[in-house]
Parts: sequence; structure tokens; C-alpha cells
Amino acid sequence: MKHKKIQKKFLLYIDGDLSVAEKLMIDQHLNECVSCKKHFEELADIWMKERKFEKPLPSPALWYDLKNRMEKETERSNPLRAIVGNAKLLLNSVITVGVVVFAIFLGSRFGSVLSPQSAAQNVTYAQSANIRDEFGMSYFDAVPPNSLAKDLFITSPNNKGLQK
Amino acid sequence: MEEKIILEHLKNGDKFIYKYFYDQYVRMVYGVCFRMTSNKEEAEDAVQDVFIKVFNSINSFREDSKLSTWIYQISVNICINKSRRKKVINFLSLDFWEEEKGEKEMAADSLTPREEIERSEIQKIVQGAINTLPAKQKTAIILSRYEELSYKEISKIMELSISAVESLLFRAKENLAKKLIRYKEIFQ
Repeated sequence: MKHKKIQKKFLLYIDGDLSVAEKLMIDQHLNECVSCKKHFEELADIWMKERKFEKPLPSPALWYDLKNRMEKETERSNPLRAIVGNAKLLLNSVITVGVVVFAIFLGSRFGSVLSPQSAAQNVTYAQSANIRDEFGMSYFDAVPPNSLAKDLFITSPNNKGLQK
Repeated sequence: MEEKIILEHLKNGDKFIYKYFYDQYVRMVYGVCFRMTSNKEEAEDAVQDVFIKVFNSINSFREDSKLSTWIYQISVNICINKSRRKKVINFLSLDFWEEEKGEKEMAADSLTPREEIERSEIQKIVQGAINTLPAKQKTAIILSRYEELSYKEISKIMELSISAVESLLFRAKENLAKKLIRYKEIFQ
């Protein structure tokens, strides 16, 4: 029990926080007790060494992290900047929607030019139909009623095939 | 630059002084935060909180104490609050139940003969023991041992009487001695 009480005071003894009477008491005990003396020496070694280690240093990037965070917080706390920020977001959304609508308009207005039933293609089909008619080949066509080919024949001006 | 001039610029909201102010105090703030949190990332996060708090509430600094005392006070409060929040989060996330295990793991890491104990291991042992102290004792010992502040300064930072600080440090050192001797007994 006495050992524990003495050991408890070791750091206070090392740091010079004890009264003269307490110091003497510990000195006396350390002279008599080998085990406590060993503990004391080890503890003193660790305690003194650790104090001498240099201070930890922050990372050099810490200032930039802090600066960025402050800028973000300023933006958040400034109502005018918040409004400008929101307006920018709104404008971006409007522009995106506008582009999509315009693309749809263009598609519906001029899309037929690119469709399979365009004039140029019709001419090609018509020409092929004429050739087929000339040689009487259309009589041998087996065009299913719902096939795309049926529509092509109908749209060609000189079509006299079975479907017609 | 004198403290008064820095303060004047800070109170005027002159942002050009921020970097200078940061350079002046960052080592001090980081030192306390690192000792209080024992973790580099958490310490850096706390340092940011401290500077933002200082810049935002500089006008509430009454100048009846040193600027460094006020900054220490903010640093200590922020670290204590962070540590409380962390404890709650750990408790809720079940990490709390593994805290004891972590301590044992730390102890097992340093199972080396005294001659081979390296600097990091000594730090681990002492810092580990300091971390187990109650918050007030831990704060007092960090400010006294590592920041080398007087009892008077610590009493101002912690808003306690000088005798209360003396008593805290006394108990802190008694507790640390018990813990450190126990560590040594376990390892040998």
C-alpha cells in the first residue's frame, strides 16, 4: 500500500511540485526499495524524454484548406452572393431546357428530309419500280400486306404491282 | 507586427492580415489541438474551426487578457466539444465498445525492451495515458506541460481559480504516474 502511495507522487517529484517534507519521504523510500527505485528511474526517463520531443507541425496545405472553407462560408452567409449563385443555376437550367426544345423543334420541322420516305429515296424506289414493271417482274412479288415494302410500292408513282 | 496592430486590422475586417495572423498562431493552435485530439486530421479540422471562430468573433474579444489566452480558450473549447461529440458518435456506432480493446492494442504495440523503445512509442505511451484522463485534467496537463503556460494563464483559459488548476495538475500527475507504472508493469 505504501509503495502505491509513493509511486503516485513520482511525476510530482520529477516536476518539482512536492513540498520538502514529501520529497524527503520519497528519497528515503527510494533508498530502501529497489522495486520502486526501478519504477522511478523508468518513469523519469520516459517523462523527461517525451517532453523534449519537438512540437507536432501542421500540414503546409492547411492554410489553403482554411481559406477555401472561409470563402465557402462567406458565400453561404452573403445573401447577395447566394442570390447570384441561384440565378446562375436557374440560367443554366433554362439554357439547357431551351436547347432541348429547339432540338425537338428542328427535328419535327426538318426531320422528314432525313426520313426513308424522302423525295430522293422515293425517286429511287420509283425508278426501281419502273424497271420492275418494264420487265413484268412485279407480278411475281410476294409482298406481305404489313411489310415496309408494301408502303414503298404504294408511294411509287408507276407502281402496278400485286398490292396495288 | 504588434498584437495591437494585428487586432486593429482584424477588427476592421482587413482580410490581408488573415494569413499573417494564421502564420503567427498556427503552431500554437495546432500544438494544443493535436495534443487534445491525438489525431492529425481531427487536429487540422479543429485548427480550421478555431481560426474561423477567431476571425468571426474577434469583435467580442474584450482585450482584458492576452490575445493568445483567448485563442487558447477557443482552441480548448472547440477540442473538448469535438471530443464530446466523438464520444457520442462512437457510443452510437458501437466503436465505444471497442475502445478498451484499442487501448490494449496500443499497449501491445509497445511491448519492447526499454533500450528499444523508440520516440514514437514513448509518445504513444505518454499520450495514451494523457488521453485517459478526465477532460479538465487532460487540458490542464497539456497547457502546463506542452505549452508551458503558468498556473495563472491556465486558470484564465480554463476559467478556474489558480488553486483549482494546481489541484487539477496534482491529480493529473498522480493519475498519470499510476497509469504509466501500470503500463511498464504490463510490458515487463
